[in-house]
Amino acid sequence: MANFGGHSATAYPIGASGDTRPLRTIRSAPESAPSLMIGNPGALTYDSKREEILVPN
Amino acid sequence: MLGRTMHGIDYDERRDEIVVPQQFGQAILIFKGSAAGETRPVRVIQGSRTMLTALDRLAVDSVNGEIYVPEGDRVLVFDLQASGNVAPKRVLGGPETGFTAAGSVAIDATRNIIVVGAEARSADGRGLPQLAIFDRTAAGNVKPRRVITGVNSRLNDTGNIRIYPEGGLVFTTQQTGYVAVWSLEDAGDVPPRYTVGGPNGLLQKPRGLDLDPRHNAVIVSDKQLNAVLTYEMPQLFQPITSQAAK
Repeated sequence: MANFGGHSATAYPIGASGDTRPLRTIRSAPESAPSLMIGNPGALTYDSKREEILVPN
Repeated sequence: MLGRTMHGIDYDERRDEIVVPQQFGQAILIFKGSAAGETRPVRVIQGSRTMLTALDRLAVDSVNGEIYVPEGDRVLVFDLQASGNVAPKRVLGGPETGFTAAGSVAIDATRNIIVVGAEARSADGRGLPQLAIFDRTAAGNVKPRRVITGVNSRLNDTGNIRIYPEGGLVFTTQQTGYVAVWSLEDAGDVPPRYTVGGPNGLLQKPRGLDLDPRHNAVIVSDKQLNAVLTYEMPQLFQPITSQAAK
């Protein structure tokens, strides 16, 4: 299963149901590393007051 | 109320507000600049009078308090303080405008012009991409002041547009992999004066775009790279007065 927000892919048993742990996780960084949560960024704007970049997902 | 498909966003520095198009809800959402988490918009423009159908991008004119929405063969203009089911205060559109498939727009409140990223109207429906420059307050079926288009312009499917008024430059993302920059005085089949991030550079499918002149920065989001890239380009952020002094 692809995980857009966590930048990972997780594998579950075929009969998995409910709150089930994945069998394994593929991720491009250690699990503790925060994800940027950017997915398919089609726009952005710069908040000049806070000096922040806003990216809708 | 935010949706899956948000290809536009703009920040109004004067009022400290974030303005977002909501394509599926056929609405414009306005949030406080400080909004975070599960927050309601402070205003919503939505309803049958708005003429909003499939809005994709928008642009805010902070100086004149207006929101511009390109919508196919027209550009809708709303008061920034509008809320609810309100009609646009101006509609630019018609055969004389020469454009269709308008997908992006930017405003230069200094020169009182707007730049519309669209396609030229053609009988076979295969119009060339173009940047059409109109008077800011143009309404109805009027001709553009000038148009940038043609093979040499290398314009393709234009993404977001931003203007650096002090330098008289217009920036657009080109979906073939770079940001193209023209002078606001350019017209006809002219190549971009500058390109950022390509072609044949790091950018692959640039979409989002904004400028931070204070830090000489061109900020680009790339759909293929799934990344936001900031280019420091001091040579592009030269006010015209200082250019003339050189």
